[in-house]
Amino acid sequence: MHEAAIGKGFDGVLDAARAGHGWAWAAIYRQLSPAVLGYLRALGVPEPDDVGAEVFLHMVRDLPRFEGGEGEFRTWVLTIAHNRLVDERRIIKRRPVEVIPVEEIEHGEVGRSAEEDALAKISEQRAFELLRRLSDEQQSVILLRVLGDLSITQVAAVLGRTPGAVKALQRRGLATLKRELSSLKVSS
Amino acid sequence: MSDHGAYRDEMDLNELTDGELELLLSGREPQEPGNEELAEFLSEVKAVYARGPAKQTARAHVAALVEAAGRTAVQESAPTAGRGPSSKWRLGVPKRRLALLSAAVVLGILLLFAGLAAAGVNLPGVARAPFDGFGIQLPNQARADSVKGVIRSTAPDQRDCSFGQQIAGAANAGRGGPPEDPCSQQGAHGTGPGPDPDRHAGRSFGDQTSASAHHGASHETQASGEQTSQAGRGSGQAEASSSPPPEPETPTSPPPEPQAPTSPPQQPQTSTTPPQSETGRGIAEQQSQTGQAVGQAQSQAAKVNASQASGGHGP
Repeated sequence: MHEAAIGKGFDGVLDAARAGHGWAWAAIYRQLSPAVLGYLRALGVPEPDDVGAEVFLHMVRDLPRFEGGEGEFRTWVLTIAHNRLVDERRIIKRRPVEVIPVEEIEHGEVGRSAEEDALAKISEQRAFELLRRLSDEQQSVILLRVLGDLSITQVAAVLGRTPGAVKALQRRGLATLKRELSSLKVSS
Repeated sequence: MSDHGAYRDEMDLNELTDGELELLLSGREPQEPGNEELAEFLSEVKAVYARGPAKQTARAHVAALVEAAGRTAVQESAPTAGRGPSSKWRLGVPKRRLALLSAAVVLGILLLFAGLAAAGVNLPGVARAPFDGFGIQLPNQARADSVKGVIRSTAPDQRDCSFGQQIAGAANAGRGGPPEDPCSQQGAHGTGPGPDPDRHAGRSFGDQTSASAHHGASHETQASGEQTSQAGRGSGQAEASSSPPPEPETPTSPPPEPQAPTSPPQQPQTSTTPPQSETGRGIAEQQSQTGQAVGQAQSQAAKVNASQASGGHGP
């Protein structure tokens, strides 16, 4: 499932990143930022770019203690992102803020045409609403599987659950999505 | 959508294998029909959300990461400059604590040994060795080696009073003994220092005889009372004639215990003697009363003699 993995050169990239080489950090950021930022966006984190930047800075700070391959590295970074998400949710519960949809902020920033932007906005809105029908854990499981390209075991490591529990959450989440998609089709 | 519908959806997904679920989650349609919409939606989710930030934001983020990584690399590559004193301090505290703990344990063990020695426990040589090394002499410690040395160095036929004193001195190990040489006081009694035991023996004999005479009514008891009272009297007279005036008792040597009674065992009461006839019984009673009276008189005389022999210490 790792379509955009660094591959065999991962260890060299990681060593170069530890040594402070900019190109290595650019490669790591390019590789992981879509998953990290997409996960934060899909779960409704306000200002996902800022939270994502904090996730990467946390990664830089703890990188000397990291050991493992590319799969473990991806799991580790998404674990940081998930923990940061939990913190953000806790902060929002204590101090509610008005959430501005991301697509409104990013409108026109990614070089898309107006038609493409409109279609993307509709798709994002629909996906966002459908995902809200799931429980928090079901959302996390589905998004980590789809956006993070993590296996059941890796998702279990991120969420601190057993693989069996993750499998059950995934199955129920997919069933809910299938049911909601069917109901939308009937209503339309 | 009813609960039945939700259950049916879940059962439909349950029919999918893990491989087919992987295909579904990656946005590809599994072979099992009925999940096309779901596969399309998941693919759409990935397309909508899995994208990086705007170019300017990405540049700013990467620049921040490189700067942070540079700071981290500098901190990691200079451990002696930044961490030297602190690591020494961190290591020093446990070492100091460890040394203090060890010293406290050793001191506690030494105090324990000293306390046991003061309580009268004879410690083994291993426990005494640290104290001997510092020249500290523990109290109440018998020197087994010294005692053994004295025993080995003295032939069995030469073991007299002075041998005993040497043994006592080795066992006391300089704790001090009697102020004078006890062997020089070995006189007519030959029993060593301390109060004269015969004096006490004479008195005790008299007392015992008196008691047995009070209780005894048979001929045997009467006879034994007479014999023992005579023996006590003889002993008391011999004491009175041969022993010097009593010396003050030394506090270091306790007075010897009175000797065990040497009188014959107390005989059973007169009621246990088998009656032969009334005449015989009457004669026996008269003889018993007479013997009792004689025994009392003799025991009183023996007491007087014993008290005179003991110089007023008697009852």
